[in-house]
Amino acid sequence: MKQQDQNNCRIAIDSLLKELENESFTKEKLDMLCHQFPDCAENLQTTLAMWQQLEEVPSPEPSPAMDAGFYKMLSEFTTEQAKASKAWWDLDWVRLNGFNLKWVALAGVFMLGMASGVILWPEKQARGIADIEQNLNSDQAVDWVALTSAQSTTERLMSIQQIRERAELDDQIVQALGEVLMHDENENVRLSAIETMLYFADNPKVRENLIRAIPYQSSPLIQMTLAEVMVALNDSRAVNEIRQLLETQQLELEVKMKMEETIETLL
Amino acid sequence: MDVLQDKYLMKKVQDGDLSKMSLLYERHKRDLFGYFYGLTNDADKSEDLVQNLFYRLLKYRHTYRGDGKFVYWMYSVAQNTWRDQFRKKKLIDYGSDAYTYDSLPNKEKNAEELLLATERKNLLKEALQQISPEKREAIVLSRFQGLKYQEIAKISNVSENAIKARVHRGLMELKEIILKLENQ
Repeated sequence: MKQQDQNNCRIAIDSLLKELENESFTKEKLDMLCHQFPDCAENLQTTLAMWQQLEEVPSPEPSPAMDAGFYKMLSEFTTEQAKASKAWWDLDWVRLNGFNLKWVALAGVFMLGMASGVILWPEKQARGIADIEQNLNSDQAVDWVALTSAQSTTERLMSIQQIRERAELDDQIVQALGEVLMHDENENVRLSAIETMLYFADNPKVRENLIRAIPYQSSPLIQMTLAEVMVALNDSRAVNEIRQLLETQQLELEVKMKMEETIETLL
Repeated sequence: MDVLQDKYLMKKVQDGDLSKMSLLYERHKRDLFGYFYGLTNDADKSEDLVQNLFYRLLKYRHTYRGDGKFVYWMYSVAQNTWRDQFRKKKLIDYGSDAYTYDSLPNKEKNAEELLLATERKNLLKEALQQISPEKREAIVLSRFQGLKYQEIAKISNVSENAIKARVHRGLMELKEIILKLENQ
Protein backbone atom coordinates (compact mmCIF):
# COMPACT_ATOMS: atom_id res chain seq x y z
CA MET A 1 0.00 0.00 0.00
CA LYS A 2 2.85 2.33 0.90
CA GLN A 3 4.59 1.45 -2.39
CA GLN A 4 1.37 2.33 -4.21
CA ASP A 5 1.27 5.74 -2.49
CA GLN A 6 4.85 6.43 -3.47
CA ASN A 7 4.13 5.55 -7.08
CA ASN A 8 1.10 7.81 -7.10
CA CYS A 9 3.10 10.61 -5.60
CA ARG A 10 5.79 10.16 -8.26
CA ILE A 11 3.12 10.45 -10.95
CA ALA A 12 1.76 13.60 -9.34
CA ILE A 13 5.19 15.21 -8.99
CA ASP A 14 6.06 14.30 -12.58
CA SER A 15 2.89 16.01 -13.77
CA LEU A 16 3.68 19.09 -11.77
CA LEU A 17 7.28 19.24 -13.01
CA LYS A 18 6.07 18.86 -16.58
CA GLU A 19 3.67 21.78 -16.12
CA LEU A 20 6.43 23.88 -14.61
CA GLU A 21 8.81 23.00 -17.42
CA ASN A 22 6.27 24.16 -20.00
CA GLU A 23 5.40 27.23 -17.98
CA SER A 24 1.78 26.23 -18.40
CA PHE A 25 1.09 25.97 -14.71
CA THR A 26 -2.10 27.37 -13.15
CA LYS A 27 -3.42 27.35 -9.61
CA GLU A 28 -6.35 25.22 -10.79
CA LYS A 29 -3.98 22.53 -11.99
CA LEU A 30 -2.34 22.33 -8.56
CA ASP A 31 -5.74 22.08 -6.87
CA MET A 32 -6.68 19.36 -9.30
CA LEU A 33 -3.49 17.40 -8.61
CA CYS A 34 -3.89 17.81 -4.84
CA HIS A 35 -7.47 16.59 -5.10
CA GLN A 36 -6.44 13.64 -7.24
CA PHE A 37 -3.47 12.71 -5.03
CA PRO A 38 -4.39 13.86 -1.50
CA ASP A 39 -1.51 11.98 0.17
CA CYS A 40 0.89 13.93 -1.98
CA ALA A 41 -0.65 17.37 -1.54
CA GLU A 42 1.98 18.70 0.87
CA ASN A 43 4.82 17.48 -1.34
CA LEU A 44 3.23 19.12 -4.38
CA GLN A 45 2.69 22.41 -2.59
CA THR A 46 6.27 22.51 -1.29
CA THR A 47 7.70 21.74 -4.73
CA LEU A 48 5.66 24.49 -6.31
CA ALA A 49 6.40 27.01 -3.54
CA MET A 50 10.16 26.51 -3.84
CA TRP A 51 10.04 26.65 -7.63
CA GLN A 52 8.18 29.95 -7.47
CA GLN A 53 10.38 31.31 -4.72
CA LEU A 54 13.46 30.76 -6.88
CA GLU A 55 12.08 33.51 -9.10
CA GLU A 56 13.26 35.92 -6.43
CA VAL A 57 16.92 34.94 -6.73
CA PRO A 58 18.50 37.93 -8.46
CA SER A 59 20.92 37.51 -11.33
CA PRO A 60 23.36 40.38 -11.75
CA GLU A 61 24.76 41.44 -15.09
CA PRO A 62 28.37 40.67 -15.96
CA SER A 63 30.75 43.63 -15.79
CA PRO A 64 32.55 45.20 -18.80
CA ALA A 65 35.73 43.53 -17.47
CA MET A 66 34.37 40.17 -18.63
CA ASP A 67 34.16 41.44 -22.21
CA ALA A 68 37.65 42.90 -22.00
CA GLY A 69 38.99 39.58 -20.67
CA PHE A 70 37.28 37.57 -23.38
CA TYR A 71 38.50 39.72 -26.26
CA LYS A 72 42.04 39.74 -24.89
CA MET A 73 41.98 35.95 -24.58
CA LEU A 74 40.55 35.59 -28.11
CA SER A 75 43.19 37.88 -29.53
CA GLU A 76 46.02 36.03 -27.78
CA PHE A 77 44.62 32.67 -28.80
CA THR A 78 44.31 33.77 -32.43
CA THR A 79 47.89 35.10 -32.44
CA GLU A 80 49.16 31.87 -30.92
CA GLN A 81 47.33 29.86 -33.57
CA ALA A 82 48.81 31.94 -36.35
CA LYS A 83 52.29 31.33 -34.97
CA ALA A 84 51.93 27.61 -34.57
CA SER A 85 52.30 25.61 -37.72
CA LYS A 86 49.23 23.81 -38.97
CA ALA A 87 51.03 20.49 -38.90
CA TRP A 88 51.52 20.80 -35.19
CA TRP A 89 47.85 21.39 -34.58
CA ASP A 90 46.89 18.49 -36.79
CA LEU A 91 49.10 16.28 -34.65
CA ASP A 92 47.11 17.32 -31.62
CA TRP A 93 44.36 14.83 -32.32
CA VAL A 94 46.31 12.09 -34.03
CA ARG A 95 46.48 8.69 -32.49
CA LEU A 96 49.40 6.54 -33.48
CA ASN A 97 49.04 2.87 -32.66
CA GLY A 98 46.53 3.85 -29.99
CA PHE A 99 48.91 6.39 -28.47
CA ASN A 100 47.16 9.71 -27.96
CA LEU A 101 49.46 12.54 -28.94
CA LYS A 102 47.18 15.25 -27.63
CA TRP A 103 49.28 16.27 -24.68
CA VAL A 104 52.56 15.83 -26.52
CA ALA A 105 51.34 18.13 -29.27
CA LEU A 106 49.93 20.74 -26.92
CA ALA A 107 53.08 20.80 -24.87
CA GLY A 108 55.07 20.94 -28.11
CA VAL A 109 53.16 23.97 -29.36
CA PHE A 110 53.62 25.63 -26.03
CA MET A 111 57.34 24.92 -26.11
CA LEU A 112 57.52 26.36 -29.63
CA GLY A 113 56.02 29.59 -28.32
CA MET A 114 58.43 29.64 -25.40
CA ALA A 115 61.41 28.91 -27.61
CA SER A 116 60.57 31.80 -29.92
CA GLY A 117 60.28 34.08 -26.89
CA VAL A 118 63.60 32.97 -25.49
CA ILE A 119 65.35 33.24 -28.86
CA LEU A 120 64.03 36.74 -29.33
CA TRP A 121 64.96 37.78 -25.86
CA PRO A 122 68.51 39.03 -26.51
CA GLU A 123 67.09 41.28 -29.23
CA LYS A 124 64.65 42.68 -26.74
CA GLN A 125 67.48 43.33 -24.34
CA ALA A 126 69.30 45.22 -27.03
CA ARG A 127 66.45 47.59 -27.62
CA GLY A 128 66.94 49.19 -24.26
CA ILE A 129 67.19 47.43 -20.95
CA ALA A 130 68.01 50.68 -19.25
CA ASP A 131 64.70 52.25 -20.28
CA ILE A 132 62.71 49.22 -19.22
CA GLU A 133 64.45 49.07 -15.86
CA GLN A 134 63.80 52.70 -15.19
CA ASN A 135 60.11 52.32 -15.95
CA LEU A 136 59.49 49.07 -14.19
CA ASN A 137 61.53 48.79 -11.05
CA SER A 138 59.11 50.95 -9.09
CA ASP A 139 56.29 48.60 -10.06
CA GLN A 140 57.85 45.45 -8.61
CA ALA A 141 55.86 45.59 -5.39
CA VAL A 142 52.63 46.16 -7.29
CA ASP A 143 53.33 43.16 -9.54
CA TRP A 144 53.99 40.92 -6.58
CA VAL A 145 50.65 41.84 -5.01
CA ALA A 146 48.80 41.36 -8.31
CA LEU A 147 50.45 38.00 -8.89
CA THR A 148 49.68 36.54 -5.53
CA SER A 149 46.34 38.05 -4.65
CA ALA A 150 44.47 39.22 -7.76
CA GLN A 151 41.05 37.58 -7.81
CA SER A 152 40.64 37.72 -11.54
CA THR A 153 42.45 35.35 -13.88
CA THR A 154 42.88 38.15 -16.41
CA GLU A 155 44.65 40.34 -13.86
CA ARG A 156 47.01 37.53 -12.92
CA LEU A 157 47.72 36.74 -16.57
CA MET A 158 48.41 40.39 -17.31
CA SER A 159 50.74 40.70 -14.32
CA ILE A 160 52.69 37.64 -15.44
CA GLN A 161 52.99 38.96 -18.97
CA GLN A 162 54.24 42.33 -17.72
CA ILE A 163 57.04 40.62 -15.83
CA ARG A 164 58.51 39.44 -19.15
CA GLU A 165 59.40 43.05 -19.91
CA ARG A 166 61.83 43.16 -17.02
CA ALA A 167 65.57 42.97 -17.43
CA GLU A 168 65.89 40.85 -14.31
CA LEU A 169 63.79 39.64 -11.42
CA ASP A 170 64.12 40.31 -7.72
CA ASP A 171 63.75 37.40 -5.28
CA GLN A 172 60.23 38.37 -4.31
CA ILE A 173 58.96 38.10 -7.89
CA VAL A 174 60.87 34.84 -8.43
CA GLN A 175 59.18 33.43 -5.34
CA ALA A 176 55.76 34.72 -6.40
CA LEU A 177 56.09 33.10 -9.84
CA GLY A 178 57.04 29.84 -8.17
CA GLU A 179 53.99 30.06 -5.91
CA VAL A 180 51.75 30.76 -8.88
CA LEU A 181 53.13 27.75 -10.75
CA MET A 182 52.56 25.49 -7.78
CA HIS A 183 49.24 26.72 -6.50
CA ASP A 184 47.29 28.89 -8.95
CA GLU A 185 43.94 27.26 -9.66
CA ASN A 186 43.95 28.34 -13.30
CA GLU A 187 45.83 26.26 -15.86
CA ASN A 188 46.34 29.22 -18.22
CA VAL A 189 47.92 31.22 -15.45
CA ARG A 190 50.26 28.35 -14.59
CA LEU A 191 51.21 27.93 -18.25
CA SER A 192 51.88 31.62 -18.53
CA ALA A 193 54.06 31.44 -15.40
CA ILE A 194 56.17 28.68 -16.98
CA GLU A 195 56.58 30.71 -20.13
CA THR A 196 57.68 33.76 -18.16
CA MET A 197 60.02 31.72 -15.96
CA LEU A 198 61.70 30.38 -19.07
CA TYR A 199 62.51 33.95 -20.07
CA PHE A 200 64.60 34.09 -16.90
CA ALA A 201 65.89 30.54 -16.93
CA ASP A 202 69.45 31.77 -16.50
CA ASN A 203 68.49 32.65 -12.92
CA PRO A 204 69.25 29.55 -10.74
CA LYS A 205 66.36 30.28 -8.37
CA VAL A 206 63.92 30.34 -11.26
CA ARG A 207 65.17 26.94 -12.43
CA GLU A 208 64.88 25.57 -8.89
CA ASN A 209 61.27 26.76 -8.72
CA LEU A 210 60.45 25.14 -12.05
CA ILE A 211 61.81 21.84 -10.73
CA ARG A 212 60.16 22.16 -7.34
CA ALA A 213 56.76 22.69 -9.00
CA ILE A 214 56.77 19.39 -10.89
CA PRO A 215 55.19 17.14 -8.22
CA TYR A 216 52.43 19.69 -7.58
CA GLN A 217 50.98 19.53 -11.08
CA SER A 218 47.78 17.63 -11.79
CA SER A 219 47.14 18.96 -15.30
CA PRO A 220 48.54 16.67 -18.05
CA LEU A 221 49.34 19.69 -20.21
CA ILE A 222 51.42 21.32 -17.48
CA GLN A 223 53.10 18.00 -16.65
CA MET A 224 54.09 17.50 -20.28
CA THR A 225 55.22 21.10 -20.65
CA LEU A 226 57.43 20.91 -17.57
CA ALA A 227 58.95 17.69 -18.86
CA GLU A 228 59.77 19.44 -22.15
CA VAL A 229 61.23 22.37 -20.21
CA MET A 230 63.49 20.08 -18.19
CA VAL A 231 64.77 18.41 -21.34
CA ALA A 232 65.35 21.82 -22.92
CA LEU A 233 67.24 23.00 -19.84
CA ASN A 234 68.96 19.63 -19.55
CA ASP A 235 68.64 19.86 -15.78
CA SER A 236 69.15 16.43 -14.25
CA ARG A 237 68.13 17.68 -10.80
CA ALA A 238 64.53 17.34 -11.99
CA VAL A 239 64.76 13.54 -11.99
CA ASN A 240 63.82 13.23 -8.31
CA GLU A 241 60.76 15.46 -8.71
CA ILE A 242 59.63 13.61 -11.82
CA ARG A 243 59.97 10.31 -9.95
CA GLN A 244 57.96 11.80 -7.11
CA LEU A 245 55.24 12.80 -9.58
CA LEU A 246 55.22 9.27 -11.00
CA GLU A 247 54.89 7.78 -7.54
CA THR A 248 52.26 10.09 -6.11
CA GLN A 249 49.84 10.61 -8.99
CA GLN A 250 47.80 8.46 -11.32
CA LEU A 251 49.14 9.87 -14.58
CA GLU A 252 47.60 9.45 -18.01
CA LEU A 253 49.43 6.78 -20.00
CA GLU A 254 51.04 9.17 -22.46
CA VAL A 255 52.12 11.50 -19.64
CA LYS A 256 53.60 8.59 -17.73
CA MET A 257 55.54 7.47 -20.78
CA LYS A 258 56.75 11.00 -21.40
CA MET A 259 57.99 11.28 -17.82
CA GLU A 260 59.87 8.01 -18.02
CA GLU A 261 61.39 9.08 -21.31
CA THR A 262 62.41 12.43 -19.75
CA ILE A 263 64.15 10.68 -16.85
CA GLU A 264 66.10 8.58 -19.32
CA THR A 265 67.11 11.67 -21.30
CA LEU A 266 68.21 13.57 -18.21
CA LEU A 267 70.23 10.79 -16.62
CA MET B 1 19.55 32.16 -42.35
CA ASP B 2 21.82 29.22 -41.62
CA VAL B 3 24.77 31.55 -41.33
CA LEU B 4 23.30 33.00 -38.16
CA GLN B 5 22.88 29.68 -36.41
CA ASP B 6 25.20 28.69 -33.58
CA LYS B 7 26.09 25.50 -35.41
CA TYR B 8 27.23 27.37 -38.49
CA LEU B 9 29.29 29.83 -36.45
CA MET B 10 30.93 27.01 -34.57
CA LYS B 11 31.69 25.26 -37.85
CA LYS B 12 33.43 28.43 -39.02
CA VAL B 13 35.44 28.48 -35.79
CA GLN B 14 36.42 24.87 -36.43
CA ASP B 15 37.51 25.82 -39.94
CA GLY B 16 39.86 28.42 -38.54
CA ASP B 17 37.78 31.60 -38.44
CA LEU B 18 38.25 32.07 -34.70
CA SER B 19 36.71 35.53 -34.71
CA LYS B 20 33.29 33.90 -35.05
CA MET B 21 33.65 32.83 -31.45
CA SER B 22 33.02 36.44 -30.48
CA LEU B 23 29.53 36.21 -31.98
CA LEU B 24 28.83 33.09 -29.96
CA TYR B 25 30.21 34.84 -26.89
CA GLU B 26 27.98 37.86 -27.36
CA ARG B 27 24.99 35.60 -27.90
CA HIS B 28 25.48 33.40 -24.85
CA LYS B 29 27.55 35.39 -22.36
CA ARG B 30 24.65 36.53 -20.20
CA ASP B 31 23.11 33.08 -19.97
CA LEU B 32 26.46 31.54 -19.13
CA PHE B 33 27.24 34.19 -16.57
CA GLY B 34 23.80 33.55 -15.04
CA TYR B 35 24.47 29.81 -15.06
CA PHE B 36 27.80 30.15 -13.25
CA TYR B 37 26.38 32.76 -10.91
CA GLY B 38 23.56 30.39 -9.97
CA LEU B 39 26.16 27.75 -9.20
CA THR B 40 28.74 29.86 -7.39
CA ASN B 41 26.89 32.92 -6.08
CA ASP B 42 30.00 34.91 -6.91
CA ALA B 43 30.08 37.44 -9.75
CA ASP B 44 33.88 37.64 -10.11
CA LYS B 45 34.31 33.89 -10.18
CA SER B 46 31.46 33.59 -12.65
CA GLU B 47 33.20 36.02 -15.00
CA ASP B 48 36.42 34.02 -14.73
CA LEU B 49 34.50 30.83 -15.40
CA VAL B 50 32.87 32.31 -18.52
CA GLN B 51 36.28 33.28 -19.84
CA ASN B 52 37.75 29.91 -18.96
CA LEU B 53 34.83 28.22 -20.71
CA PHE B 54 35.36 30.13 -23.96
CA TYR B 55 39.05 29.33 -23.82
CA ARG B 56 38.11 25.65 -23.62
CA LEU B 57 35.58 25.98 -26.44
CA LEU B 58 38.39 27.35 -28.60
CA LYS B 59 40.97 24.88 -27.42
CA TYR B 60 38.73 21.84 -27.81
CA ARG B 61 36.82 23.10 -30.85
CA HIS B 62 37.68 19.93 -32.74
CA THR B 63 35.55 17.91 -30.37
CA TYR B 64 32.33 19.63 -31.46
CA ARG B 65 30.61 17.17 -33.76
CA GLY B 66 27.69 19.34 -34.80
CA ASP B 67 25.16 16.54 -34.39
CA GLY B 68 23.17 18.22 -31.65
CA LYS B 69 22.30 21.74 -30.60
CA PHE B 70 25.39 23.86 -30.02
CA VAL B 71 24.13 24.77 -26.54
CA TYR B 72 24.21 21.11 -25.47
CA TRP B 73 27.91 20.99 -26.21
CA MET B 74 28.48 24.45 -24.75
CA TYR B 75 26.76 23.58 -21.47
CA SER B 76 28.49 20.22 -21.24
CA VAL B 77 31.84 22.03 -21.49
CA ALA B 78 30.52 24.62 -19.02
CA GLN B 79 29.64 21.81 -16.60
CA ASN B 80 33.14 20.41 -16.85
CA THR B 81 34.68 23.85 -16.43
CA TRP B 82 32.74 24.38 -13.24
CA ARG B 83 33.31 20.86 -11.93
CA ASP B 84 37.06 21.13 -12.51
CA GLN B 85 37.18 24.39 -10.59
CA PHE B 86 34.90 22.98 -7.94
CA ARG B 87 37.14 19.97 -7.48
CA LYS B 88 40.31 22.04 -7.35
CA LYS B 89 39.11 24.61 -4.91
CA LYS B 90 35.75 24.29 -3.26
CA LEU B 91 34.12 27.09 -5.15
CA ILE B 92 31.05 27.20 -2.97
CA ASP B 93 31.13 30.48 -1.19
CA TYR B 94 28.17 30.74 1.05
CA GLY B 95 26.60 34.07 0.34
CA SER B 96 29.77 35.79 -0.80
CA ASP B 97 27.73 38.20 -2.87
CA ALA B 98 24.68 37.91 -0.68
CA TYR B 99 24.72 41.52 0.36
CA THR B 100 26.17 43.00 -2.80
CA TYR B 101 23.09 42.96 -4.90
CA ASP B 102 20.19 42.89 -2.49
CA SER B 103 20.92 45.35 0.22
CA LEU B 104 19.98 48.62 -1.44
CA PRO B 105 16.71 49.78 0.09
CA ASN B 106 13.94 51.28 -1.98
CA LYS B 107 12.54 54.21 -0.03
CA GLU B 108 9.15 53.91 -1.63
CA LYS B 109 8.48 50.54 -0.04
CA ASN B 110 7.97 49.66 3.54
CA ALA B 111 11.41 49.27 5.10
CA GLU B 112 10.49 46.24 7.18
CA GLU B 113 8.91 44.50 4.24
CA LEU B 114 12.03 45.13 2.17
CA LEU B 115 14.26 43.86 4.91
CA LEU B 116 12.27 40.65 5.10
CA ALA B 117 12.31 40.24 1.35
CA THR B 118 16.06 40.78 1.24
CA GLU B 119 16.57 38.32 4.06
CA ARG B 120 14.44 35.75 2.26
CA LYS B 121 16.40 36.17 -0.98
CA ASN B 122 19.68 35.84 0.85
CA LEU B 123 18.49 32.72 2.66
CA LEU B 124 17.41 31.25 -0.64
CA LYS B 125 20.76 32.00 -2.26
CA GLU B 126 22.59 30.52 0.69
CA ALA B 127 20.39 27.43 0.68
CA LEU B 128 20.97 26.97 -3.05
CA GLN B 129 24.70 26.82 -2.38
CA GLN B 130 24.18 24.10 0.20
CA ILE B 131 22.45 21.49 -1.93
CA SER B 132 24.55 18.99 -3.86
CA PRO B 133 26.26 20.20 -7.07
CA GLU B 134 24.21 17.83 -9.26
CA LYS B 135 20.90 19.01 -7.86
CA ARG B 136 21.99 22.65 -8.04
CA GLU B 137 23.01 22.23 -11.67
CA ALA B 138 19.67 20.66 -12.53
CA ILE B 139 17.75 23.45 -10.80
CA VAL B 140 19.87 26.26 -12.29
CA LEU B 141 19.58 24.86 -15.81
CA SER B 142 15.84 24.22 -15.62
CA ARG B 143 14.69 27.16 -13.53
CA PHE B 144 17.10 29.94 -14.52
CA GLN B 145 18.33 28.89 -17.95
CA GLY B 146 14.94 27.60 -19.08
CA LEU B 147 16.25 24.32 -20.48
CA LYS B 148 13.99 21.30 -20.79
CA TYR B 149 14.66 18.24 -18.63
CA GLN B 150 15.41 16.27 -21.77
CA GLU B 151 18.01 18.84 -22.82
CA ILE B 152 19.62 18.84 -19.38
CA ALA B 153 19.68 15.05 -19.50
CA LYS B 154 21.60 15.17 -22.79
CA ILE B 155 24.07 17.70 -21.42
CA SER B 156 24.56 15.75 -18.20
CA ASN B 157 24.57 12.36 -19.86
CA VAL B 158 21.89 10.92 -17.59
CA SER B 159 18.22 10.02 -18.04
CA GLU B 160 15.40 12.56 -18.08
CA ASN B 161 13.90 10.88 -15.02
CA ALA B 162 17.17 11.35 -13.15
CA ILE B 163 17.08 15.07 -13.91
CA LYS B 164 13.46 15.35 -12.76
CA ALA B 165 14.37 13.53 -9.57
CA ARG B 166 17.29 15.89 -8.99
CA VAL B 167 15.09 18.94 -9.47
CA HIS B 168 12.39 17.60 -7.18
CA ARG B 169 14.75 16.45 -4.43
CA GLY B 170 16.70 19.67 -4.76
CA LEU B 171 13.57 21.74 -4.22
CA MET B 172 12.59 19.67 -1.18
CA GLU B 173 16.08 20.03 0.25
CA LEU B 174 16.00 23.75 -0.33
CA LYS B 175 12.94 24.00 1.85
CA GLU B 176 14.55 22.02 4.66
CA ILE B 177 17.75 24.06 4.51
CA ILE B 178 15.84 27.33 4.55
CA LEU B 179 13.90 26.18 7.62
CA LYS B 180 17.16 25.29 9.36
CA LEU B 181 18.74 28.61 8.43
CA GLU B 182 15.70 30.52 9.66
CA ASN B 183 15.91 28.80 13.01
CA GLN B 184 19.60 29.51 13.50
